[in-house]
Amino acid sequence: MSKRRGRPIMAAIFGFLTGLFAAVSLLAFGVIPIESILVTILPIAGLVIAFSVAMWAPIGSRDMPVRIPDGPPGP
Amino acid sequence: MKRTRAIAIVGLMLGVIFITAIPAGAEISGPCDGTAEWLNSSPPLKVVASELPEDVVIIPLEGDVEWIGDVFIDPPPTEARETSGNVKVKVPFPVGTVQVGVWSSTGTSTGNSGTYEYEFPSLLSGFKVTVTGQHWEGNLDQSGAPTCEGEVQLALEGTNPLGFIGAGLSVVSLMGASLAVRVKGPSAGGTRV
Repeated sequence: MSKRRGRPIMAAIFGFLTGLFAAVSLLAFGVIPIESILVTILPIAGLVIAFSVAMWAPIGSRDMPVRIPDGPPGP
Repeated sequence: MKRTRAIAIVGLMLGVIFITAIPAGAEISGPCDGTAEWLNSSPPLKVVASELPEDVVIIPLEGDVEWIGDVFIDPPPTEARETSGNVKVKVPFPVGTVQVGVWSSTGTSTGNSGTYEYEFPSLLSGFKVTVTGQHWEGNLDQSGAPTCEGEVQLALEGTNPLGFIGAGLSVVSLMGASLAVRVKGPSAGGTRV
């Protein structure tokens, strides 16, 4: 039986982009200075967290639909 | 339990953001002082190194700055001595700093002045930058502990639309990530019950 999980690669890409755009937004609003380590950390953290959560896949695992094969075609 | 973990992770991330977002404040140490006055600025803007505000200094995106720098030596030097120094702008890891000015000379002078013209693209409005300066007495190669050093945080005036665009794209990416972390549904060929 294969382990149920999300889409880790896609999640990692979206996680990276989330962190990157969040960092750009914080910089542009002047919340963090340009040398802040968050500029480096946020995209990497987004990538790692999203990848990990996709591998762990806590969302959607409870109501995972059961797949049953279709029956033979009718007469 | 899973919800508690998720809240803890989000709380930790927000905590890191707010802690690192606290302004570092301006400071200067050593027997040095300097002023920078923006020409044709409205309202008038003058920054004195020994009277730097705790918060950031908001500066125009472009301008001509009349600057003066002094080192106080008592008694004033009568023989030529070596001096050196630099001005740097802090940038993100792994670069660290970018040197924007440097000096190195031999003489009896204890001060210098000039006019500096600069222009930043409007794309950088609202950005905060930290500028540092160091001065050495007695050597030309900036070795050892500096005689004076200072740091000030500057913010470029204006509101940057990049902030709103970044926030919007961040929300869209987060939605994409939240869909991608969900467990994959059944492939075609079956029936959901």
